[in-house]
Amino acid sequence: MSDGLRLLVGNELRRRWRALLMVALLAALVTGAVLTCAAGARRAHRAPARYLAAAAEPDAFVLGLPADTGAADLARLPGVRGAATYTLLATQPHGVGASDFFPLFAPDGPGAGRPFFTEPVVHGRRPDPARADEIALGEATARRLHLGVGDRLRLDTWSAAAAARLQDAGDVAPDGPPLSLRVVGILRQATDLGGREGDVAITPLTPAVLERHRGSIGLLDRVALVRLAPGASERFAAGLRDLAPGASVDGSFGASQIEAALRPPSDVVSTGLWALAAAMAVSGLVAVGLALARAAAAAQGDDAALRALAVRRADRIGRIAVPGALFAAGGVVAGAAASVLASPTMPVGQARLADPRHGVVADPFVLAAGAALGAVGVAALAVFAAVQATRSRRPAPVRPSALESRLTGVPPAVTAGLLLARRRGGREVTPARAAAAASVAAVVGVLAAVVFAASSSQLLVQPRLYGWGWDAAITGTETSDLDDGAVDPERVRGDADLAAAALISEGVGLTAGGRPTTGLVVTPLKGDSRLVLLAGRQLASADDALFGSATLRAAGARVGDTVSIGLGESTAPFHVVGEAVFPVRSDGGSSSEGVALSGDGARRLGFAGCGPDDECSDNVALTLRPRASLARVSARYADPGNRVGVRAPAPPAQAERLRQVRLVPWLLAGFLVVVAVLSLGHAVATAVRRRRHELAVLRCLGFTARQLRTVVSTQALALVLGSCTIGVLLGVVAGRAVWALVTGAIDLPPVASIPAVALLGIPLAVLALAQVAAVPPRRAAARLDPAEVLRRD
Amino acid sequence: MTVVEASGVRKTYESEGVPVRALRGVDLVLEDGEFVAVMGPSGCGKSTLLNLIAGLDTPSDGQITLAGQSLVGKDENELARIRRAHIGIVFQFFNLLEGMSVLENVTLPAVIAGSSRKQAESRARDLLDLLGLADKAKSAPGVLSGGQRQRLAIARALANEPTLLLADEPTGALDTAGGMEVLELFRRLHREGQAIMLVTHDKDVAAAADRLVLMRDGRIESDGADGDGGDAAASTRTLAGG
Repeated sequence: MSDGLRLLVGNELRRRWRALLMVALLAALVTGAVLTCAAGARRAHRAPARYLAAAAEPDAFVLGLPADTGAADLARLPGVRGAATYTLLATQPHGVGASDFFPLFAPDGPGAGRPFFTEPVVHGRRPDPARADEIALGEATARRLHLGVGDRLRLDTWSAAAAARLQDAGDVAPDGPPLSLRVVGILRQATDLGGREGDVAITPLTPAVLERHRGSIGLLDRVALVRLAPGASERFAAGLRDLAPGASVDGSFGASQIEAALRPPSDVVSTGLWALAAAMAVSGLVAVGLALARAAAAAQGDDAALRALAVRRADRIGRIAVPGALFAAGGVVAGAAASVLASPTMPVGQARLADPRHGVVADPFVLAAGAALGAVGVAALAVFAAVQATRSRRPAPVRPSALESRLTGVPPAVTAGLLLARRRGGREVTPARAAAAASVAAVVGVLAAVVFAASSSQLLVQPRLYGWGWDAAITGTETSDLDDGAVDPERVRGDADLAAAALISEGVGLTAGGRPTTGLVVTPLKGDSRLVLLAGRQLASADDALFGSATLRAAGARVGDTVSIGLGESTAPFHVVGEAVFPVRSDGGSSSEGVALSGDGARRLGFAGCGPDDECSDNVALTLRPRASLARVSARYADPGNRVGVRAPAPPAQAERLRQVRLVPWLLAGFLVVVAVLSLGHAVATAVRRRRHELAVLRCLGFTARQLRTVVSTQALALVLGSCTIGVLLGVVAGRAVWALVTGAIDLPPVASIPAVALLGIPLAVLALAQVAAVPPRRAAARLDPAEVLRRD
Repeated sequence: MTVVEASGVRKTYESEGVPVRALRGVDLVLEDGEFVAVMGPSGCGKSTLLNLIAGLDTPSDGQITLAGQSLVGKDENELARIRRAHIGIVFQFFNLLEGMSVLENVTLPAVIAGSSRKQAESRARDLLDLLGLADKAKSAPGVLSGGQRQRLAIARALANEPTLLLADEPTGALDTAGGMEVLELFRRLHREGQAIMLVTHDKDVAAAADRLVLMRDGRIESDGADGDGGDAAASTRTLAGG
């Protein structure tokens, strides 16, 4: 840097450090938020693996292990990296039904390799292995038993003889000595992380419990936990067959299955945070760029004089760019440091549950890459702003606004405020653009977040949105498939609480236009059971078919077309009368894939109902009359003995996963609001500073301090008023587009909810924020000394 | 009627931490219909005196009465109201509101003072007609020549029919023709009874007034009203050695 440039830069730094501090603050905010989210996204992605590494979950369970087989024997099998043997005690928490599987295991010998069950401790501590009266429970187990650290867990036990009968009969009264264990810790077990319905929480006991009660409490089974080398499961199974022919391997609760269950929700969080980081980076760079442009414009005044003094353009650019770049880069570094401090807030959702460490964590890759990219980005923006500010352009003449001319009867302070809010044209880089852009971004962000939140809430409470056009379904309790004759159609028809009922056969293997698809056959039993439609009408005849939107697209057809539908060897033409949303169950399914036929229509293809060996399943859809009680209807048809249950609609897993990222749009919206307030405050403050001459003239013309405050308030309102209108329109479009993308990705209909109150409330809130942002500039304007300003200028 | 009466006025302000005694005891009386030129070298305190009389600043000591109302002890809002009613100011660099049309620049002061928009516009059109700017009413100030811009500033200053028209170096930013044009306008206004106080360091400009007040080092060195400065033209001729 030449001496001349150093002199100019030093002068600029002395004169403008306050304004540049604002740029640094904005850069720090943006960098902090972006890097926090980026690091959080990486942590969310790694959370399942980190959990499994911390929890030391086994890769497989060995069931039916002989009494004489120990962990050392298993450890010698091929591919085994660690093993431990456990015994299942005939014991159950007091008050929990005997049919409710509540396994309590205790280690029955020395393990081989690294220990198992080292799940993160959420509260308290791990039990002392030498204590026979201590236990730690999983979070869900503790909740289920209403226990916390310090409470006592009472256990019923069965004697050895009763335990033998228990395994055969399943309903034997406990006759062993009751146990009372003190809960010393709460653990985060894999079953506490969600994602796998029906998983059973295993509660390990201390070895001391088994030692003390081995003679008095029956032992039910021996199991082994093994840790395997990658790809070694087959070799291990073969070795186990030789070692213990009666034992079996169960990998369904193993680490890979747990990771597979945790992966989708964690990835949803990770993707959401990456998207948030990207959106914040883009909007933040725009905000920082505009702030740098404002700072450059403020330094522009001396440029003509420097040009006249033959200062090189490079030095003139450097004079403006270097201070801006230095402060902005300083802000980036400060933001990177702040992101480390903010790291305990990440990740969010289920990934947070899985993440074993929530403290301050520095992600070197994110910090290094983010700080480097951020510094380069803001430096480039500073140079760009300086280049723009030093370009010689003839100022465009200012044309009076027709608007102010028409504002007859409007107080002069308001007119003046509108005047000052307006762009002055020419080479002046006006703060109005930044304020308007920030306001638009804030309104769009908040409205999109509201649409996302309202739509996802609506999805969870409106079963129609995941294809349930009825109130409940009678299903099999184990396979969701009703056994033949499990429900008496006549009883359903005569039920006064039911407005409609239909036998629904799901998963019928059909072809549509030659492509395989799943069929849904609706055979009415009573009334009119209606599928949820996106377009067209309900099934009315044996020739009608309803298509899912994906199936309709795949078949290249539209509503009104005729499509050939086949079942086995049989095909027939069907008239596409509508586009349906197919019912999605909580355990998955597609709402847009499939073809629905009436019972009569399916019979045209030779369909005669779902048999025991068919892949399709039957259930009965129930539509209740108004004021009919679902509980009463459920009690009427549920028959666990015959494996019949009544299921109310439950949101599909993909909808539940949206809960994981429900914070993301709000975080983005909050970020945009903060950026908007800062930009707006900066814009109004800059406008007041740069228009102080005009404000001083107004003071000379007789404006009071109050009128000058009104001028600034009007100016702030004018800056955001148009932006609010544009923002609301864009926000609705953006919200719907985002929701369409999200629902498209999870295969649900794109029905967005746009709360009317938000359309009015958000712009009002932005206008209010504009007034808040204008408070300091209002004070500055009111304190302005006209004589001083006019003397200096 | 006395328009301005200043007695024992002192003004000290700080500039970069150093006290600057801008006025060191000024006594001045200005009667209705007078055209006074306050002349002196740069830094003599003439603009400070103008700002105090306009109520844009407050004296450190002394009394200033404008149209019978004391300006001392008044808060900023009260001074603003007095200014609206009694003062019109013309600046060296015009200080026009560039985003407003010529007509709106002249309309605004009257609207601020409480006139209806219609009345204010009517008065503004009359003033623009009087000052030869009627055909520029819808133009932006930026397209006017220097002389026209200063005439517009004078029209704006006259919008509320002020008791006193203050002019701070009104020809300082104009060429000779523009300056003559403005001075001729001031003389015309004076003939019509307008009280004017003009601040300048230019003896030719000061010669347009009928009374000359000479200032130096924050004090009034001579005042034509006391008979020691004569009329402005004569005084400036004397100063010029003519």
